[in-house]
Formats: sequence, C-alpha cells, structure tokens
Amino acid sequence: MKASPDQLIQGFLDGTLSPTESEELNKLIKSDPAFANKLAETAVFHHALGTGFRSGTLPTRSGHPNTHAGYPDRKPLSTLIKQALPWALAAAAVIVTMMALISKPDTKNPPVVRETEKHNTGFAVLTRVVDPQWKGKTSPAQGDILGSGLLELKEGLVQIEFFSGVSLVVEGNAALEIISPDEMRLVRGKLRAHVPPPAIGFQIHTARGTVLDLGTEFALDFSNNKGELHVIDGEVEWHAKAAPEIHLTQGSALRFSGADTQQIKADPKRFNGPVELDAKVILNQDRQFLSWQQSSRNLKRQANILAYFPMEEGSPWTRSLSAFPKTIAPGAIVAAKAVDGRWPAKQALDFSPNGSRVRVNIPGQHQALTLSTWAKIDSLDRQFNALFLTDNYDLGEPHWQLTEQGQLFFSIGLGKEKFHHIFLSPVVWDHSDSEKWLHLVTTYDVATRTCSHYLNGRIIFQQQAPSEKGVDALKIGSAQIGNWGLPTREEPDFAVRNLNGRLDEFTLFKTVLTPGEIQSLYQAGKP
Amino acid sequence: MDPSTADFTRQWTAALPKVAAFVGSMVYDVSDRDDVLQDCAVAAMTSFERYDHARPFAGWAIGVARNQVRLYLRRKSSDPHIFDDDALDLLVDAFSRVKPDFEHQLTRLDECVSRLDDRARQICEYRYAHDMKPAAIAAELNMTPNTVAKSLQRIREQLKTCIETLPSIPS
Repeated sequence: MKASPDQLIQGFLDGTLSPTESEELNKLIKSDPAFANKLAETAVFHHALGTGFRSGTLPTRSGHPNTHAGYPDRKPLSTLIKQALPWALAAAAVIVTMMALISKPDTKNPPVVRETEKHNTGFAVLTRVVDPQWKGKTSPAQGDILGSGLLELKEGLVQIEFFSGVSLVVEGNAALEIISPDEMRLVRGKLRAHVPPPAIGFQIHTARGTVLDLGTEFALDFSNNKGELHVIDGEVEWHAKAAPEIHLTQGSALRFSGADTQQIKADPKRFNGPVELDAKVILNQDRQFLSWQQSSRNLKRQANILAYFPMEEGSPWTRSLSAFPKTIAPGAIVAAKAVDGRWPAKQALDFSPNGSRVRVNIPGQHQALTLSTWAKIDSLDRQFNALFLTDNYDLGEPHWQLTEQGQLFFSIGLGKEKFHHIFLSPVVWDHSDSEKWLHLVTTYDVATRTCSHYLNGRIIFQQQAPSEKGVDALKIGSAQIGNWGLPTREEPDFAVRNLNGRLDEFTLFKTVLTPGEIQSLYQAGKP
Repeated sequence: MDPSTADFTRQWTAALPKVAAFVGSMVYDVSDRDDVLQDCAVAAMTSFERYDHARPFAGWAIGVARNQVRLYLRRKSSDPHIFDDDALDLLVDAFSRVKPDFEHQLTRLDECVSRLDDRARQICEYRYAHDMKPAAIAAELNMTPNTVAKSLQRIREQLKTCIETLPSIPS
C-alpha cells in the first residue's frame, strides 16, 4: 500500500522509509511547498521532543532526567573539521579580564582588616572552559588565577591566558605545569599556543626538548607516546635534549618517535583553537539557557512562589518588570539598565546607575521566606549593598543585603524598641568574583527563628536567633530590589545602597526551601 | 565578550531550535549530530561578518548549516542520503519559514506530555529519551513495529493538537 504524505513524514522522522518512499518524499518536497513546510514544522516538533526528554526538561514517568541517554551525545573534538583561526578576537578581551582578576585574596574566610592594596599570586587565568574534568588536587574554575603546579585535565577543552599575553587552548587528556608567565611544561596531551609579540620568548618544556617561541602560533601533541610540534604561523626554535637546535617556520612540523626526529608538514586542523572553543561555549550556553527557560516556566506555576521576577522582558524594555503569580503587581524599574544576563539571550538589570531600583509590593504575612537571586557584582563599595529591602524597617520586615566585606547580611526589623539580630554569612564575594554569576539564597523560618545562607547551591551558614529576637510573622509590603530608602519631602537625603552590579532573576518563596531544592535551583540556573 | 560575538550569540541562541532541528533531520547518525551542529556554529561565527542584517538570521544560519550538512554527507557515505540537493535547498527555505508562534507553542510540551496516558508516555520515552527506533520499541513492548509506528504518529498528533490548543502560559 502506498504511504500517505503524513506517513512519509512520520516514517522519515522514525527512520523507517524504504528507498522508494524516500524518492516519493523528495518528489513531494519539490512539487508541494505546503508539504515541505509541514515536514519542517514536524521535524522542529520532533527535535523539541528529543532534546526535551534527553535533557530532563520534559517529564519522564520516573521524574528523573535521562542522564544516561546523554544530552546530546558528545564526541571528542578531534573529529571536527578545524578552520582557520583568528586569535585576535579572544586575546583582546582577556587583558581586561586579567586586570579585573589580578587581585584575589586566597581564601574566602571571614573578613580581615582591609589591606591598602590587594595582592594575589599566579601567572595565568583560566579564561574559558568546556566540560572540564580535572584530576588530582587542583580543579580550577573558569576565571580562576593559576599559579605554579601541575594541572591534570582528564577531559574537556580549556583556554589558559598567561599574564605575558600567551594564550593556550588545551585538550584533555593533558597534564601541564605552569612555571612562570613565560614558561611551562607539557607533560602529556595536546595544546595550541598563540604568542603575541610582547610574549616572544615563551618556552614550553617537553620530555623531548623545549620549544622557544619567536612570535607565532604553534601546536604540540604529546599524547599516546608520540611527540609532534606543528608551526602554524611565524617561527619557533626547537631545542632538543643533547642535539643542535632546529629553526622551524610556518607550515613545518617535527615528529619524534624513538630516537628519531622527522620533518613533516604541519596540520593545523588537528588542533582546537579559540574559534572551536567559542562554538563549544556557545552551544553549551544554549543548552543551559534552554534548560533554564523550562525550569523558569515550571517555577511560574509552583504553589510556594510568593513573588517571582524572571527578568526576561524582551527589548525594548518597558519600565515594568513582570511578576508571578499574576496577583503580584509588576515591579517598577527606576534608573536600572537592561543588560545581558547569565546568557547573551537573557536580560538582567544593572543597578549601578545612581538611584537604580525596582519598586515592588508584596502583600501578606508569612511564616517562612526564601530569597533567591543571581548576582554579578562589580564592586561592593558601599557599607551596605542592597539585594532586597523593605521600604521601612518595621516589625517583621526583612532586609537582605551584602556588606562591604562581601558577606550576606540578613536581618528582620524588630520595631523601634529593639535592636535587630544580624545573620552574617562568611564572605561570598571578593574582587576575583567580579566576572562570575553567583547564586545567593537566604531562608528564614519564623517558628524556629532560623536563618540559612547559601552560595551556589551549598549551605554556608545556619544560625538560630535568641528567643527575644523572634517575630510572630514576616511582612514585606512596599519594598525594593537592588536599593533602599525613599526620600521624602521632609527628608530628601537617602543612604546610597544601590548594588554596584547586576541581578538576573529574583524569587521569593513562602516556604523554607530544602538544601536539595536550592541545589536544583542552582543547577537549573547556572550559566 | 565583544559586541559582535555577543550579537552573534544572541541571534544564534534564538535560531538554535530551527538550526538544530534542520541538522537533526539531515544527519541520521545521532552521535554525529552534535559535531555537525558545532561545525555549523563555527562556520556561522567565522562568516558572521558576511551576514546581511536586513535578512532573518535563522534563514541565513540554516543556509550555513546546509553547507556543513553537505560536507558531512559527502564524508559519510554510510548516512542514508534521504534528500537530493534540490530537496535540501527547498527544505532550507521550509525550515526558515517555521513560525515563531509554533516555536512558542513548543514551550507547552511538558504540560502536554504529562497529560499522555501511561502507555503513550512509555512509547514516547523509549522513542525520545532513549532514541529507540520503532522496531526496538516493538521488541521491548511485545508489539509489532507497525503498531508502534502508528502509535507514534497518533501520539505526535495528539501532542501537536495539545500544544496548539492549550491556553498560553503567561510569560
């Protein structure tokens, strides 16, 4: 029996077409534009089902994502066709990053007396990562400064930018040791290095000898017991152990096997560079963003939401900020700027312009509260840096902010007679975090007077207030995201507390979320 | 991120469902799809300066993807080349024409999937979460491949009707 047009589309999607049916399919596409449109639409639908189920954003009967099914299948990058590499793009942004990251205190301990100038140690920055799996003691995160010592990358692709200006793309499985801004050792694995003129003289030591760069781009492959050096652009010197040096120029390569050294042709396509890394990063971001969109849709329907501001308004911005559930009035944006959020396709609000805030009104009395937001902070240069504060500070009204030292500060107004109790977390932010999105959560339970602070899905602080510091209920009413204080005719001056940074997604729950729920919130929203 | 890369990323993310569906439809080997999609991203990124901003980005990106798909099919002789070149060109246009409304409706899929009966949901999970073909699902559920294929057709129609008629989720 001849298949109907609909059956042909279904057969195509399920991979069950016979050669005759495939031919028929081609004919129909050419003769009937409506059929081609239907096929495309059905394929988009089919694809959405596939990615939805594999990523766990569509519900399975067990309620768990099908992690074993993989999403999507990832293959080693070595199978890719590599293309010509404009390095310049990536390099420019890095200097800025480096300047921002250069001063990092080594630990996140409670505050100490502020030094006049911050210091840090290290020779390079881990600027971009794609699915990295580290082995051994060190497992740095994107944006971290790398000091001397062995780094073992089991899987994934990372970009390391030395303070000298050298930029490396390293593919796992690899092991390397950074020695100084101008020197490193490759123990095993593959890397591609770009050395701009200010960094000429950069050296990489290997088991077979040392590459001395003379201003160029080159790649090394010391995986699987072999050794190769490929000069992609410019020139390098190869200093073999106990042999005269070899001068190599663009297009030439050396292969070391046993005691032999053989001249071969360079093959740049075998090595990943910044463009491949860009593509990987963007595809990864897309996955995270699409998965966040799904989780945000679920959040809008969740019964324990008190107020949810996803901050996903499309451009151009109206000055109102959508709120969920619909019983909560939209927030009013004042001065704050619409900027890129955790993903380029997602908006956030930048509260650094003077007077920035979002005015909201949240009615009711509550026995529990969870406050959650994503923040990217440029600096904490005010004594108090607002996250969410009620307009006044009357009995039962919460204030949530960050101190100058980078601690989460949560307190509840106890009226004019009593002084509040302060729940102060360990330091959650320092200057080295200025390029990072942080997930900040604080919970408070009225009955037990207990407050917990969370950073990036993990609990970092829990404390019970003394009984005389308790309240019967929490209330919010008129409040502000990202600032505090409304000047009045009588008192026109106000404290400067607007957050010098951006917030992306702000949620109030009327329950105390469990550590598991907070971890899920973090996983679903991390960029 | 420099402004041009940020602009590219924004547009690429919006176009991704279509581009990925196009690549997914043309590349049968599931394990190769991600690689081809990545090749498309690299190609689109490196030629972004040639993109005419007056034209819809998705259409342009699918055009770039077509070239990558062709390269892939040329390399991979084992892939069942379902479409000839002319059909492929027509499909590039057809994918570009998929309406944003329809993509918006796809956001209701989770609600619609949760309304499926147990059997339908199981078949759906085998097909999509585990990427099993009708013959494999049939063996698992003691059905004939033909019955599975028909069930899948019915389930897809049911889901499509559901996403088209479900009241819009506020956004």
